Amino acid sequence: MNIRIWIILIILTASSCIHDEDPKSFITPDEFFQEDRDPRAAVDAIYFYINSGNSIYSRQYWLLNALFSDLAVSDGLDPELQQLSEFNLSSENRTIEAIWKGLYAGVAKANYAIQNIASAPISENEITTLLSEARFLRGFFYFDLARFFGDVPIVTEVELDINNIDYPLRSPLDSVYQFIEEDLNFAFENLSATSSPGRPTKYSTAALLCKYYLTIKNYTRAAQASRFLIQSTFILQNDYANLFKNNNQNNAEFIWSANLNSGNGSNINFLTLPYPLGGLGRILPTSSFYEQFEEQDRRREITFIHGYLDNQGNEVSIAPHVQKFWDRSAETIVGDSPVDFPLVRFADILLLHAEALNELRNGSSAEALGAINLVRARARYNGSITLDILPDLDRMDKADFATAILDERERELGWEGHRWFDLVRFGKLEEKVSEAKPGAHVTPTHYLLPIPASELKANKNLIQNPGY
Amino acid sequence: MAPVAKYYKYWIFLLILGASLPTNAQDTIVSPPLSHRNTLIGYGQRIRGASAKVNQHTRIATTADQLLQGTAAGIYAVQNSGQPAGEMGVHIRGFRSLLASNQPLYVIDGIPYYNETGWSSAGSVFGPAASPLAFLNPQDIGEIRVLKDAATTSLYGSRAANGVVIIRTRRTLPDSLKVSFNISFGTQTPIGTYDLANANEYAGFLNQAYNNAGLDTPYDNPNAFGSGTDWQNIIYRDQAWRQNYHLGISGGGEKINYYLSGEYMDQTGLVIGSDFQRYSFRANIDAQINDRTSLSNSLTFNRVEFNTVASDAGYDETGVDVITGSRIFNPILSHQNADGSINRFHFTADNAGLSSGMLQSILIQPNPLLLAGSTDSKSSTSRVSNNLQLKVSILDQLSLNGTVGVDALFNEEYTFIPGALFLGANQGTGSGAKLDALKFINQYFLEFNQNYSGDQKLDLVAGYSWEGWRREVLAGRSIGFDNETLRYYSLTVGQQKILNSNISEWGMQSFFGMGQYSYKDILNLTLSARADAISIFDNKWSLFPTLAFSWDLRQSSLVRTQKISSLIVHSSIGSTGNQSIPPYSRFSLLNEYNAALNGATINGISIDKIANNKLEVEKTEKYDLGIEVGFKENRLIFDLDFYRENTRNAIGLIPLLATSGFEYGVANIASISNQGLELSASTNHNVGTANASFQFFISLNKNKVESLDLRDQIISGLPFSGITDWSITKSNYSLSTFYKENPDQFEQSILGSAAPKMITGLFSKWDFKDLDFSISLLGAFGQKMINANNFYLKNPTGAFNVLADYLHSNITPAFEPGKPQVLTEDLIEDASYLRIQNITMGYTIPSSLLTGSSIKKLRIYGSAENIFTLTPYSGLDPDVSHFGSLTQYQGVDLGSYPKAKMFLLGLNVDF
Repeated sequence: MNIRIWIILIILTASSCIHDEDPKSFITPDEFFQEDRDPRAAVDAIYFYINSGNSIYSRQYWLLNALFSDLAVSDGLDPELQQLSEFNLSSENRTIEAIWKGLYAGVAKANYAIQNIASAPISENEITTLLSEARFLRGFFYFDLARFFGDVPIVTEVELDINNIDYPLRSPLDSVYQFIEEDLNFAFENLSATSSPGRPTKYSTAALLCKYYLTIKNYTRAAQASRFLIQSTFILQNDYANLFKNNNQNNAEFIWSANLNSGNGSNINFLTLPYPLGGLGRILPTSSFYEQFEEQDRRREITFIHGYLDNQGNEVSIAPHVQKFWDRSAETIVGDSPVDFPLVRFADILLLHAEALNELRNGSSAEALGAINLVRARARYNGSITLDILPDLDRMDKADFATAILDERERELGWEGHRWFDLVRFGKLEEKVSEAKPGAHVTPTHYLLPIPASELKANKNLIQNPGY
Repeated sequence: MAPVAKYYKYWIFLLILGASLPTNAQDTIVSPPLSHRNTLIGYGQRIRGASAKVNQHTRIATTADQLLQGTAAGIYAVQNSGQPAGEMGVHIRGFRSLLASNQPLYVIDGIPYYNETGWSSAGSVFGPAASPLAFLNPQDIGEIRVLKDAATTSLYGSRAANGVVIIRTRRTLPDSLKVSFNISFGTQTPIGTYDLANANEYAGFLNQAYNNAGLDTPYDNPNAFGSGTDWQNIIYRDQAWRQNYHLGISGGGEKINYYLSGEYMDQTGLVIGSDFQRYSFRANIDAQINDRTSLSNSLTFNRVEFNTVASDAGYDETGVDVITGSRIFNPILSHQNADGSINRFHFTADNAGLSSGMLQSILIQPNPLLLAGSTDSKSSTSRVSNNLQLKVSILDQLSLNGTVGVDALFNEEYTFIPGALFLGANQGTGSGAKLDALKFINQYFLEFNQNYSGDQKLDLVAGYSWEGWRREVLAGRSIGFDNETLRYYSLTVGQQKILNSNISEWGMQSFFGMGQYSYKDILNLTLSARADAISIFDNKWSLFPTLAFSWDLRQSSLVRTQKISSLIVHSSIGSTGNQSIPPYSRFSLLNEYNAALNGATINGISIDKIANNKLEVEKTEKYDLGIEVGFKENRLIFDLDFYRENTRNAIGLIPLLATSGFEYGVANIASISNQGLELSASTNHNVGTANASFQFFISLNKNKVESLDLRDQIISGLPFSGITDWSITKSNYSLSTFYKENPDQFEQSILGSAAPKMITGLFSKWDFKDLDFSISLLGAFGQKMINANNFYLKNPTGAFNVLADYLHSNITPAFEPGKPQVLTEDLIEDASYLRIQNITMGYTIPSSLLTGSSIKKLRIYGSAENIFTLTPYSGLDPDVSHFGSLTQYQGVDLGSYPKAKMFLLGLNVDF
């Protein structure tokens, strides 16, 4: 009996063939962009590289601009930070590697969206809106890549099979800038003037374009962009203190910012506050930065902390540490700051406007002085009254006005991820850094960052920046 | 032979033991027949090759994989953690895989079992992984054989590269009713504790550290604190018991034989809050249905329950553990309040005299006792396995075998961490997870055996098998309990809830065949092949052929001297595979990317993993040449094996260029070789009523990365204590080589390897009349270990308690919170060791005293485990692995749950 049964069983089971794998708990590329909400999800994913505790905009971006300039020194305990502080930078530095990787990861997410949005079942209008948002973000990443590293590979597509990946060459800076301009122009034409808070608008695109044109020294276009913004609805906050409050996110001064939340916050205060206040005191302001401020400048008291109360209630005074982004009520345990990190705010635009006009008119002009004096005026307000400090600037020649603008930027925007870019743009990196940090080995090499060693190892087609 | 010279002191020790070998020429001859060394490799086949029988009779083993340690040449086994029923990392003939598992294939009663714990655990409990064999009662095991070379493993094809462990549970010989009852009862203590600074020493140390950092000293009068709290003592139980009850009934008649058993195992963990229990039942039934048909069924049901504590983690952003906590926690603080309740504090401002902000930044340390006692982490698994084998003789020479096997398990895991552990924040976290896993196997083979004119024999086997595996997990986590009374019993109470479900499936279809030709049992030639189609790879089919031969020189009369009683040469060459990577590794997959936006969270989805459409199974070519020599009528037998194994297409994670948009990809990237030498010796001496047997082995292995595709080197490393990128994979170095960044001088960046150069083991059993005595030793030499405990225990910042010796050494403490850790040479230590693993003494009541009772045999015994370890390693135990069985990341000791020293009394009764 049993032989026949066995033969039947064999035939039954032998026919149960090996199944092809189906990853049921994962989405595969074939299954995506099939629904109308998929393109939105693909674009939202790009924000992970800006608006999260893992993004460089909540970590390395401000840190590099502070340490790799005249604003800050490190306490020497972390060799990676010390390299930046002393301008003794190696291509192995993790901060540099994180910046490179973070920006290209953002580019890849943007590319993936841009590549596929059109194949989803949504209307032409929706396609254009999402495309312009994604291209804004891609342009934003590439603009930082170009400013940090100079010539960089232009990657426009994500390859999904490891066996076919591309080993790109560095593209000349001109073509990188042209690429950025195309993305930003597309965004400018297609983004609306308003959006849900935190997302890019026509205005945030104009702000990026303004910076972009200043960087490539097209001052006419830069001034056009800044004027466009000045004539819009953006205003300065009355009190400088209100800028870095968790309950004042996406306010009328913030044009484009990294939105952060508790649990998805920045470590800025953890690195800069003194340890009696819960920080590590790892990154400390230089005295030249501290001394840049008049004593009663509202911005000085908001930027720095000089003391604290111990647990007996006694005042303990300490060397100045930076506390600009510390909203005590929102960050009771230091280390996860939910305060938004401004990438372009209106005060920045006013100063950029003055900078562009100074170049165009070869010296200060009423319009430029008006812009910078607006920024200075706000800093006179100490929270209750307006003090008689920071007098309005008067006519001056081009060089003096440039210095005044640069110094005003230091006071107004210090620690906000601008300083190294500013010093590079003004061509004053060596001068300013050697004044502030006499021991630093600053050279023309440092007008660019090194391409990370890990990338050079992985892509033999890349050549290192000179001097590294 | 550098290791031999280097570890001379161990050799001297071994020689002294060896000198006590009895060498009485008048011994009665008891010769183990060499024919038993024809190994049963599965599918009904026997072959001569490189395999080893595992001696399992004396070790106190909670799980069967513990029996593999130090019992056979070529097996390097590491008890990753001392948590009860913790996983054993088993490496047979070296390290050969990067991403894929390096663990052997376990075949129990002819059915392959998954060798990774992930199969049977939903993965949410704290602490290190449990053994994949935790469900199996070691006392039900009849025989364990470890198959190593191509000849013996070839029929397992794509799962043979890491070696195969064949486990056969007990079955019964016809007409032998036996009831045996075994009880044992034992007590356990930690294998060691650190000698730490006490309270007044620590207070002085912290004062000094603050002073040197220019801060006010926190303690006015350090001496007032006295010796303070010994935290190491406090987290351990006063008594950690282990009890085991086993009842085995075997019997039957001409047609049906059975083995039935039941077991209860209860092992209390050394640390409060941890324990292990197993209830297992087995019914093995063999029946001769008629002249042509026989049946063999193996059924087990078992239930395994664990409670675990957080251990093996260290104290940083990646984890907190009880063990590390007990070493570094402030000895000034007391574990309980005046009324005797557990002190619910952390190392907070008030009780350390420091400002709270300072502590928040560096020392979020819960009371270790609170961590052990107030958290919950429990796992329970019910498992049923059954396999039915039917054998039908179709013709005299031809038979058909069929097997249907099912292994179904259901696992539940729950955890709860009270909010009190998070500095008073309302952050209690509870989780619950359920796993449902099913494996199904269906296999058939035809056997053909033909004798030609008496001298020549031909055995053929050809078969087909199909296996399907499915694993489903449903898990929920809830954070922020306003009221914690209900713990994980009501996850709805939490404010934030995270749900997850996951299913993974894979399958394999195989054809296999083997032909053995033998001439007078003297010359034996074998050709075998297995073809596997594995769902995990795009390129599904792979073929694994093997050629093997053996030659009995003594029987063929080529060797005529009487001194040599047997001489057999065997050799094999063949291809084997390793497919143990997670399903879907070759796919491009999307994932969630969440970001903040205007105070809320947006959930994006985008591409996460890059595909590899050319991913292939790893292939290992195995070459083996073995010689077996017997002297003095086989009272003394030597086995010598030379082997070389070349692994090609080893699968690894390759760091990708950032412009690709991906950080890593999965690819076949490395060629790795292992070559070595294994020598085993066994003797058996019998004088009158006395008997002494010795089994000794020593094996050398050299592990080397031969080449790496696409990259010159890969630097990686799972993080521990803030250290990342500490492991290097590079040509000419072994796997698990430690690395620190040193861009100028590469050679100085290489800090040693976790791969042992030599392993050894000795087992000796002595019987004299009614007394028996046995001892087992094991050792591993030449491997290095990162003693990561010293990041804390030799930390000059005063943030942690330190070793008493360190305090008294010439150091300048300075308070530098959060100073990044760096890997330095002095953390890398020689982790060679030699351990007296077990000593057992037994007494069998003379049968004359039992006449008239129904008791046939009564033996009482005492056994001691993990008795003494000789090692230059300064930590507590060189036989640990922080990253479990991950081959690339062996050799890290951090907060390891200590092994237990066990003393046990037992009783064996046969009725």
